[in-house]
Amino acid sequence: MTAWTLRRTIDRSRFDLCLDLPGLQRAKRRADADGRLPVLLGVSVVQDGGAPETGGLLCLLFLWHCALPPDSGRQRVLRMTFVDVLNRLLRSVPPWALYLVLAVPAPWYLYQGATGGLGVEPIKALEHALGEFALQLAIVGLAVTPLRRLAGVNLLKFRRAIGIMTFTYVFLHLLVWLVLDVQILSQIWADILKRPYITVGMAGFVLMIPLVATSNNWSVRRLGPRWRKLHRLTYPAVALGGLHYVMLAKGFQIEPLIYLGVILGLLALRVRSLPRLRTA
Amino acid sequence: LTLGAMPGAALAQDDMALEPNAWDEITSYCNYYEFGTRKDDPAQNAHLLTTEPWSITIDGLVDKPGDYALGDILSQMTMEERIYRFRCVEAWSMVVPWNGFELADLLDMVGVKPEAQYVAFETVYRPEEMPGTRYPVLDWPYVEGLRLDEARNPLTLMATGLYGKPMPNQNGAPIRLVVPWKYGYKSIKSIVRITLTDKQPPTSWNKAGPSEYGFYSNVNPEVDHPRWSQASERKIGGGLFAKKVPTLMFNGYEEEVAALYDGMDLKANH
Repeated sequence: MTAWTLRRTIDRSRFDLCLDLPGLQRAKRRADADGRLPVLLGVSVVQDGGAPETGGLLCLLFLWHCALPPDSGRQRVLRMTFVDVLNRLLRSVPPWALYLVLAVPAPWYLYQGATGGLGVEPIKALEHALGEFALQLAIVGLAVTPLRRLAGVNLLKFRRAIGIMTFTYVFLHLLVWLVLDVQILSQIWADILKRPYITVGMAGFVLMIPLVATSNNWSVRRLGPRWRKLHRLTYPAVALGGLHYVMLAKGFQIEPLIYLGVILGLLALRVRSLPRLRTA
Repeated sequence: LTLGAMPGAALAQDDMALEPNAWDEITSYCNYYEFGTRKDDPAQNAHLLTTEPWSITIDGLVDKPGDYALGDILSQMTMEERIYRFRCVEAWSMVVPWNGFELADLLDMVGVKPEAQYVAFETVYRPEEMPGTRYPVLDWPYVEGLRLDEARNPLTLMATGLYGKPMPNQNGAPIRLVVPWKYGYKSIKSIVRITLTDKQPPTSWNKAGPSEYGFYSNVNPEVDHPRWSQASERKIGGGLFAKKVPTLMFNGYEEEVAALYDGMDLKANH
């Protein structure tokens, strides 16, 4: 059976086909070519006549024009199915919902800090909780592109929300440091200049300001191709955030190094020459 | 009983007003990296440590070296309560009512040879009981040291309890050092070895970051830690809006200990 015969057998009036689903490409390298037919059809809406139990399903049709070699491809089919279902789910979540969800930790931490939930020294605990959450969000933001490229998971429409909320938490982290922690105005400036880990953290924050200022449709339109260029500032900003965490840790601590490692790994995925290095 | 019993107690400072931190504060907010680097890790993990039986090896330049059972030591010591300020190098502080005895009494018990100039201490190191030691946060076991005259100062305490109760594990059970005019990390916990020596002994934090942590580590508001100011501190227990207070020279024990450092450059010997 070939692609066109399949299409003919489906009555288009009864199915709404999602032809934009990412189809598997026929394997290019000879070593793992296994005769897969790149036909992947998502049936998103089954109209009258379809069995009720198929109604809510995303139907994937995946055909093989020759025998499937044992244990080859099967896992890939499953993964593709999972990714498509996930993407479908994600499509139904509006970005504003993410803003709402990500806004929850801030008042929760504050409430915890005020009521003893963060221990007997709530100022540092609050500062660290906000900073750590910001770093986690930044990592999720950096992961959006590799996730799409390597796993097919599409989080692109949430990237602005992730970025803006990352900035928000960095700002809250900074605010707690200024107002509750350092308190003394003259010391704030001295700290920024004299303490390298604070200088690094502040630099990361400053780099984020043009990013958050241009995180709107108007700026994207106005800046055109320059917008993408400007938003590469994300890379040094997040790297500085990770470095800031490593620098403030006492002794040789694993956790900050893991964060920095993940960040550098995600940045390395953007270096084009990396695949060549891997084969060398 | 407490400060009155001490020669030249620093009553001129605000000692009379020293209000000890609550038991829960002292026992829930600890730095004891052998049990983890988060402040609540020690309180969660330190129960794993076996503190009975306990003995301390006392060796080096002493007349009577040997392994001393903790009970045998305690039976010969005069126990006191001492309410001391406790200032962490991280710029937070507490007030702690310790129970213990003067280190000088222990040194007299074993007899210090005249050529001895320093006292070295070592914390117990049991990876199976101390989950934090699975990571190379510091070069385990934890070691500390004092100059002999610092060790002999009447303020220097070997503490075995808090609030009249046995020392909780997370605070350094069963026996720890308390040197109230130095940053908290000098007050080594869960001591298993005391060595008298004629050379300045290595200390854990100094090994980890020589520019950040000196051998002396005296509380000094004028000498900043490279990564933060030491001019002020936050007393634990003030909640989310706790104000910072100025840090006192030698943590408020200037009168008792300043003479130990006459003529020394306290910036170079930080």
